[in-house]
Amino acid sequence: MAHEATHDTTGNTAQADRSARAVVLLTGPAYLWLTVTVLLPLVAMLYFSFLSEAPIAGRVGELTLEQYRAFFEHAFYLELILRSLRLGAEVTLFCFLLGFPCAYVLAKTIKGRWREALFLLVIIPFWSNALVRVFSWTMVLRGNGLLERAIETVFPGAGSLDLLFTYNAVVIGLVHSYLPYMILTCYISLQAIDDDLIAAARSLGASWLTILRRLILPLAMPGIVAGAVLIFVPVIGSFMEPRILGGRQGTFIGTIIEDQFTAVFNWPLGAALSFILLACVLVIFIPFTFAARRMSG
Amino acid sequence: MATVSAKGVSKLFGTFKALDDVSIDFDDGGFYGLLGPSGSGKTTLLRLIAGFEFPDSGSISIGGEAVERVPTEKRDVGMMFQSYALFPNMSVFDNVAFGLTVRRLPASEIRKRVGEALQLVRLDGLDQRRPHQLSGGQRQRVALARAIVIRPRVLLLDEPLSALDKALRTGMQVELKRIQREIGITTIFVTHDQEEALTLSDRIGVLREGRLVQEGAPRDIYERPNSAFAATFLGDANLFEGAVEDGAVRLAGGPLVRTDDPLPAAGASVTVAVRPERMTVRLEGDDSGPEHNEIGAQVEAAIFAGNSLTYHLKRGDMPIRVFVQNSGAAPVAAGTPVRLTWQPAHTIVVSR
Repeated sequence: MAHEATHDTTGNTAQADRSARAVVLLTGPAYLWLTVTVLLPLVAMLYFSFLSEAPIAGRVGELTLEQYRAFFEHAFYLELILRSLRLGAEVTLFCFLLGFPCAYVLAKTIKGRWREALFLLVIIPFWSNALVRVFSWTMVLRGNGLLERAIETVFPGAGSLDLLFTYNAVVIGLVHSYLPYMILTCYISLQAIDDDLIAAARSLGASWLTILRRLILPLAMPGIVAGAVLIFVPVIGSFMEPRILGGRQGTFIGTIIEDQFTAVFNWPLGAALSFILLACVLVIFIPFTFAARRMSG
Repeated sequence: MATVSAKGVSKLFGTFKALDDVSIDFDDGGFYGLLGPSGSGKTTLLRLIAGFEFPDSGSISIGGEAVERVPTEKRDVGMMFQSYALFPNMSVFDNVAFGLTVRRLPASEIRKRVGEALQLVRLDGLDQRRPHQLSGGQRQRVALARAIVIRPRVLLLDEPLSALDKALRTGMQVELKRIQREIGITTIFVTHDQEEALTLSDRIGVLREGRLVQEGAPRDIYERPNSAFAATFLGDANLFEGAVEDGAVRLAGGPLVRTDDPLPAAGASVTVAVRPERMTVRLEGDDSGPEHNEIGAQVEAAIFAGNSLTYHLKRGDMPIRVFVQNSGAAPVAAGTPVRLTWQPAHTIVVSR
């Protein structure tokens, strides 16, 4: 008996060794790739953010906290971060308000070939160049552009909206760019909800609003959160849409960071602002993700 | 609690006629089984009674009140789904309480009624578990408690036992019957399993291709099926074709078979059914009473199943099956020519 037991343990250890080696071999390349492409650049950036000047063209920077101090000394950096966070929140909210019903209809109402056709319409924007997409919006939104002429035809004398180069134009362009993410992530979690659950709730007397609030939204929460993260994070750092559609109204933390790298060549400040932004995102999302996980059981 | 009645109900899905002019009454407090193969319309009928779909024509009433256009959330029915459909984001307590919170009952009342319902299904103490932490049998009990806690006028069960393994199923059959008696609720369930239908129901409706083929007490349908389909779907049956002659049926190939059932005029062709357990296997030389019907056959195989024995026989090309209790006698060997005998009362005329 005792002999058998020892034999078993050694057998188990050998097997554990083998499977550990397999895990290393199979996941190793992926982690190596992530280290080279994500972790190393991030570490380099973090290092830059503590330098007095960028180590390019033979110059040598000294280690300093000056860049982080600059953020706290100039109130407009904080204002810009808040403005970007507000932009991110609004774009995410509009994407949810438009995308969730759309995903619900795709997942629960439409079946078969029509679903494929509508899916294609959702995905097509991904196939076009983002810059082209954003520039087309300038045609639509500018004074006497497509949108204003369409409104003028239906309601003569409606007056000018003059949307281009406003905050709203940036929101419109970003919602259009990022809406597919929300539709796709919500679709995945909505179509995993068994129709019988909804039927059961109805048979128990629940109204549509109750079913939405107590069943569908909690069960779709992982998809909603995933979509929100996929939209919120790039939107607060976005610079192309704000520049093209926002004009003088298009100054956000993303455009400032871009300026530091491409125009001013103050890489350390750009890196420091990036890490402050990253910290803001983590502070917002970590509790949010935990709450969502608890909600969907 | 209430009576349920369907009158002339039809339902089309595209061009597929799921239900075709079905009329059936369910008495107050009864336990009804709707039995049929897949595509027979039994689930459609249940969903029409539940209010998930509306009939194209005909009427449905619950407690004498016409409900065929009332959506399910206003119909006050309890439904237990084949998949149980427990809400995965809620605890057992919240699942069961769902229908009560929707009705805005006070919290103390909800706690009391959920406690009672969980006690009735013998799940007290598990109320804070999540559905994924329960076994299949426990999930089913939660689904049942959730359906009955709202005190619906009628309880609908979709294939209630099909997702359970055999050992659990037998126990749950007894439980379901006990709970149904205790609360005295009109219960209608759908099944494709004849044994489930026979053991659970007070009355059975047999459906086929959207039509109600036969309706009655399980024993009546078993003893007097009105069609070859009912005879073979509910239980096992040997079918024989023949022509009416002399107040009996002349089978193809010779023998005259007597029956107590009324027969059509001489010369008409009929199908008769004989249950496998009603036939006796006799060797050449054994005698049989004069009232017995008798045909010759040859044993192909004897399948031993512990307490019983199934003989597979052939009469010409026609397979015949006979069930025999295991009385300890040696089985008849394959290849032996035998005579099969039975009483005229056990010859059921299934088509006229």
